[in-house]
Amino acid sequence: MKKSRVLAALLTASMSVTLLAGCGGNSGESGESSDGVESIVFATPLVKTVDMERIEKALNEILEPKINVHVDIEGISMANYNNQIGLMQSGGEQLDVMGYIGTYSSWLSKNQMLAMNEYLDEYGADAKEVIGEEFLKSTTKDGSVYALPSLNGKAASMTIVIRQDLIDELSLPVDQLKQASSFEEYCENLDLITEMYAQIHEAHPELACIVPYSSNTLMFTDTMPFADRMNDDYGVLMPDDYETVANVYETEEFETLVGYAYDWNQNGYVLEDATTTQETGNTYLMNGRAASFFIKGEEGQEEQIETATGVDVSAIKILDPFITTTDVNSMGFAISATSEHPEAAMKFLNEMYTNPDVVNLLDWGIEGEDYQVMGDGTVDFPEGVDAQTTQYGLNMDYFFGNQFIAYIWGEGRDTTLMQRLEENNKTAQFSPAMGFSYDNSSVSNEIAAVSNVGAEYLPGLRCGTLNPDTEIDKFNEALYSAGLQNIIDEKQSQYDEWRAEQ
Amino acid sequence: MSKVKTAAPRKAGKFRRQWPLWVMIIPGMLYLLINNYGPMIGLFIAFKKIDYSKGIWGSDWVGLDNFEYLFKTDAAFTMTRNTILYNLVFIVLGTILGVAVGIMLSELRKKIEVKFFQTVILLPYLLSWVICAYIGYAFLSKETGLINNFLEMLGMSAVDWYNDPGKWPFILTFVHLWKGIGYSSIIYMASIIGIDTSLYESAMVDGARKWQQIRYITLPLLKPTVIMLTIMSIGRMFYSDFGLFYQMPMNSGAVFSTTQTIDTYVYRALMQQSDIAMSSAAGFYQSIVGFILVLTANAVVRKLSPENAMF
Repeated sequence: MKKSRVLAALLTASMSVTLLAGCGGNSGESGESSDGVESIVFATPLVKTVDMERIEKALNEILEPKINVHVDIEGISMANYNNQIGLMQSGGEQLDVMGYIGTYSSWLSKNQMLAMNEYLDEYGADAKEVIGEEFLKSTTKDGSVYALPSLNGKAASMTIVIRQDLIDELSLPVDQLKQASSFEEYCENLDLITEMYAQIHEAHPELACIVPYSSNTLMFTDTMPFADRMNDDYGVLMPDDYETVANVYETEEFETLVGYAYDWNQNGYVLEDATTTQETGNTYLMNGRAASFFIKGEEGQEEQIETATGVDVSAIKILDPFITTTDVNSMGFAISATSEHPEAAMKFLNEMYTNPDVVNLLDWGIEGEDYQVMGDGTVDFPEGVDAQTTQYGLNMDYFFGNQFIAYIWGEGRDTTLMQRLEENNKTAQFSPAMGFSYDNSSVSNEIAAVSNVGAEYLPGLRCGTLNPDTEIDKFNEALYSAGLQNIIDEKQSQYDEWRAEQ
Repeated sequence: MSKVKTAAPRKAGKFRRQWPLWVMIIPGMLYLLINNYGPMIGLFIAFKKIDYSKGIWGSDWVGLDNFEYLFKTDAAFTMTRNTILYNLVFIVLGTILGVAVGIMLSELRKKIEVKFFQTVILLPYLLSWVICAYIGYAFLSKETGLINNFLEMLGMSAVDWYNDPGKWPFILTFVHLWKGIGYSSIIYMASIIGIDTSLYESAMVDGARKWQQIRYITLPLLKPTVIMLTIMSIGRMFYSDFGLFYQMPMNSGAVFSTTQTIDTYVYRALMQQSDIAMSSAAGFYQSIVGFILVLTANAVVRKLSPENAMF
């Protein structure tokens, strides 16, 4: 009896001890080690869970001798990423370099990033050079640079992807589609596509002529040609007047675009589940349900979709690219506002934009284990490894620093791709508001409200299930009652201020 | 245990005998403090404009600004109405059905029957909402849904479930009950089993039939449990099951008028901004209202039947 009581006490005691121990924990090893190597923490969003320790080891073998920096990679799954960063910063954990996808303006408004000008000039001159003045504008606010945008093909344009066998069978006039340079030309393309859909529908009523590529939109309905979305579509610059912030949902152009979607839906061309499906266009293509879909893409889309689905397709650009601030700053790398090692952080970033070894390591993994260089200069899986068994396979080459200095994945692919992407970046038309990014913190209540209105109406309008004749008015009414005008006014005043400084 | 009763009831002696029990409370208390009371300190975030360069403590105070988006628009009315009405329906129907199923289960005599029905009824409770949503989708989808295929087979026209707000109060109530009934019926069944069987025996001797036994013995003795569970659910009246209202309708915008609740509104509002101050404000608002509702409900119960009040 006594023994068991003592035992029970011991057990409870040990339990409470472990409980307490759980609360302490790793505040992270930081700072300078004896041999002068500075340790920094690099947080990055990852599209899947992979073992980053191998990569970290190989990375430090390059970095330590070269720039005296030791990098701890903190790979965080995309879904938790933003929360984790907030927790690390507010919890006093060490955090120096942080990659981001889509959170630039939200980080900017909460002061989560460090202004990096002095470090960029001193330790990141090479990176600054390769990124270039124009792109760097997109991450500059009031003269301070807050992030380095990822370098990849920015000149994405609206593209229609159609099954090759249908083109051949029905001899669809796809060669009449051209890259439109005005809204009228764009509509001519859409008229032509309407005719093609009629043909497809007649010959193959079992096919959905068009499916959403992702997130419940037919794509062409939410990209206004040559308009600057100004971060979130609530208040945009329309091509007829790049000085005035306008409500895109009140424009005739928007009505025309969703009108196409509605007509297509009425005629049975659109996938019936378009507004609720969680599958991507690729899945529908693979299981033989989809005839086509729209994407916003760059060179090389055809090959990517064919590899992913095993279906022969044609990808035809139907609109000239138009690069805006958000296209450029949508992903990139920043230094944490809480960082105590900004110099070392910048030295590392500089490597990520200029050192192919570093970029290839982050993009494709370790040579010989995760990839091998093929005879034609591309890289592919080594013997005995494939997409299922690979230990790495992140395929985030669009993200890590400078894609143009990395290998191209996939044996047999066109190795001039990178040159073409780089060329397009230079020749594409830029928005006159390039470099303007707006701080939404003073209208966050309004944004909360209009986001909900958007979630209510936009999927239906964009997929053509809602009748634009009646629903657009209701939508606009709801937007204004949610405070859209305040957002537009705020954007306008920030934009005017920004223009005055240019 | 009988030994304990006969031992001398001196206070010091009592503690000497009971200290292991006190020690055993410690982990639970710590857990409660760390997990349930500790985070309450964080409520102050609801009144700040978060600026990470100044740190959370150093950020500026903004008063009630963060609460504004919850009350500002027409949506505020819709989401509050939906949250409250759905909860009322769930509380009433959930209690009635839960008690009914609990009684039925407790009337089963064969052990294997009890196990079988319990498992079958409880199974949906264990499924994640995403899976439930896809089960629903398999029935309701316009392309491939079972119901629509069936309707078309009968020569009727397909129903566009995910675009018709009028249908969702029924679908959501049905799904909520289907998923939750197993769990609540088990709680009621547990208290029914605790009822002294001699009561039923004497009732049978007096010639009471099954229905009369339920009416005059089971239900009155279940009353305290029912009241306690109801007061607790009233406290959560301003919360809604996010999975039910967000996943089940597949986030379809066209049915917001009957599926938008406070939780889904907050989620959609902050998806882009991910502002922790604004989300704390929403949580703060919900818990304050919940707190008031619990106090009120309890006060009402205390007035009507004091012995059943929780505190």
